[in-house]
Amino acid sequence: MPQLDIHPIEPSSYNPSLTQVLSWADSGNISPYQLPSGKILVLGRKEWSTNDVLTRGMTQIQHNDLAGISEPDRQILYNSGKTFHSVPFTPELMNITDRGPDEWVGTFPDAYNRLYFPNGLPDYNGGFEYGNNCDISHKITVAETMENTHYTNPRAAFWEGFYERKSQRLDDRFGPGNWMQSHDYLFINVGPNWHFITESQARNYFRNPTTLENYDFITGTLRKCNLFCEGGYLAGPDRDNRYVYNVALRARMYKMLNRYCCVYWDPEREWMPNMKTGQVGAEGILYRENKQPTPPTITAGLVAAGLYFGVGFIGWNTMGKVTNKVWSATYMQMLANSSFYVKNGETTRRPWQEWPYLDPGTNYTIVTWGCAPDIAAYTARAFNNTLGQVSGGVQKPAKYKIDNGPWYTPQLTFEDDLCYAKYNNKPIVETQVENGKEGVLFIDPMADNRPHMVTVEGQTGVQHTFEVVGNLPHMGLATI
Amino acid sequence: MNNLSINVTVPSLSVLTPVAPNTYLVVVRFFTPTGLPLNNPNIPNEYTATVVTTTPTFDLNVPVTDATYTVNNAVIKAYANNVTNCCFSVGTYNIVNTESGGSQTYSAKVADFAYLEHLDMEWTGSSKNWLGRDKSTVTAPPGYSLRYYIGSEVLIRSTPLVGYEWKSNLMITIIKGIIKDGVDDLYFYGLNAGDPLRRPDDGVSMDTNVSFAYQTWFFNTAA
Repeated sequence: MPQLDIHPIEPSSYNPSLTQVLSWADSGNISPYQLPSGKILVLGRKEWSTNDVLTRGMTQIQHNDLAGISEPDRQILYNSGKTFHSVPFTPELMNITDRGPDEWVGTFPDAYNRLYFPNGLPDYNGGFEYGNNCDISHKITVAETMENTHYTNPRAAFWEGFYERKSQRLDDRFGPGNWMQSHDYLFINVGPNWHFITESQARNYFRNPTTLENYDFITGTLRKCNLFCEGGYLAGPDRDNRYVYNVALRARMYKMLNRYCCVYWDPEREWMPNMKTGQVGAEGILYRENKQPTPPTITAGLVAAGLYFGVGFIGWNTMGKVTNKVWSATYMQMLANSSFYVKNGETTRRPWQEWPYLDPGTNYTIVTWGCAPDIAAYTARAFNNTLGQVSGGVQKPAKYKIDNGPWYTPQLTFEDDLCYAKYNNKPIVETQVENGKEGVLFIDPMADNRPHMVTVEGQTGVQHTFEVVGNLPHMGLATI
Repeated sequence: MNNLSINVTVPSLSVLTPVAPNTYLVVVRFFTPTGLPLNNPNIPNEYTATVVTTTPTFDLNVPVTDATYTVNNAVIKAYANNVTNCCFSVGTYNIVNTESGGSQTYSAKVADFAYLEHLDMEWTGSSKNWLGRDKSTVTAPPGYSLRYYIGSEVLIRSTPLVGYEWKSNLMITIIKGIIKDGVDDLYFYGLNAGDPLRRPDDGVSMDTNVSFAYQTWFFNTAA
């Protein structure tokens, strides 16, 4: 009888509570491995070496995590495609040094700001010139072009010329198509917010993808942007479980449109900046005014879905290992003045100014504390050890039952099974088979938090039975 | 591989499948106390042993991973083959396997947390059988209740949460706020000031102007 080996996510020795220091790339916590070819994982580095992270699942280093690396070593990383350009604004993306008045021209969405285009927005040929002169160091770029003064109409011919030339140069540098670029980390989407449409609308979109809103991003000015991001920007805790469905649906749709899709994740909830995050020090706890860190439970689902349905997972500004955590007193005063400090053995709230780890100026080493980046790395490892072993195989929605309930028999037409799961709050259950092995993906975003026995019938009729609890992804591998 | 030695008694050797003189196949399966497959990564859910014996009581060995782990109250059943549902020997074992000596037990550890006077969970119990309570004393004004968001589960309470069952060692995140009774979507409460759709009265803040407290817990054998 084949044994399905469900891989736990974090190691049983995981204990972040004493130091609150990320530890996933520390020696011994993850054995060296590489994700399957074509998958991407970008997290933070800081005190770890590039080797520490790149041998433990990470595929690219963020450009702002290259500090302290010598120029020759950087060149090696650039040339081997191991770097990621993290949300350059329009001017940085194009190396624009011009500055004009902060003045809008046109009416949104057909608008641009003269701050960066004092002489007017260039045409196709002008964009082509920018494409000829822009930085192409990085194999992967996710830009930020859709907000603030650097917003520039994505349908302007200028972008078409820019990407046309930049893509030719990327082809020459990394090999034809062996690179990824995304026009924006959040605001460029083909198709609806899947949450606000009906099951039948969703099913129809997969039958008629050319009817998707913004379909012209596939054929028009952005047609050379081969990567689309699903922004993992969480709001309230009652809605955030649904993000994983959006990731799955969007990634499947982009695959149909011959585009890559990854999760672009914010390690803090973009919501309610008045929370307090507890940060442990030897003398006590600093309760810092902050947005909430993203729950690791949700993060794990986004990593698993990003890697399985799409090309992977990129974390924005995710801190790496930081052992000496220092806050800037200047920024605390400006941004987090309602923070306070509780000394060991006391209940009194002391002023945050008494916290021993403050820089009087603007230096700081830590953005926030949350264990989710650790869990993201461990989830990627669990993915690699299960579904990553069959990543060349065919992915199929599975027949399954929960406890002694009725079997769900998949329809296997278009993405009707994924749509059924999303619009009926059901688990996402798929299998993937390659070389006599079967990987099983089970994510129940709307789980009831009780243990259940799941039986999944695999692609050859083999049944896999395992226990599930809660909304964490369950990933397994069996020899069949 | 370590071996886990299990003592088995069968009614008679004739119920077993002989594969050679005085040699029989015995299937053992591992369960939780509630009868679910054990699903411990270090221990197979099912193992077929080849046993040499002339008596109906014998020991058999199950290979398990070399690692440090403890499984309390594992229910082990023996079967004549791997298709029958009927077993003839049941035992409850505490499986302690260690490379470094000494047993380890599961305990709850907090990772991410907010101000403890707003949310302060305490967990009692043992592996895959935890009971949680909120030790904080936050109260809700009339018309409002304490709300706990745990995955997709929403618990509405007039007093702090007690007796929350978590029958798993997987991580858990609990988020707590004070929300107006009848509100079924936090979207409008969370909108930015100035947004015409914003409904600031859908919730009330806890002291020091905090809208939601949270804690993430791990349950494992780490020191």
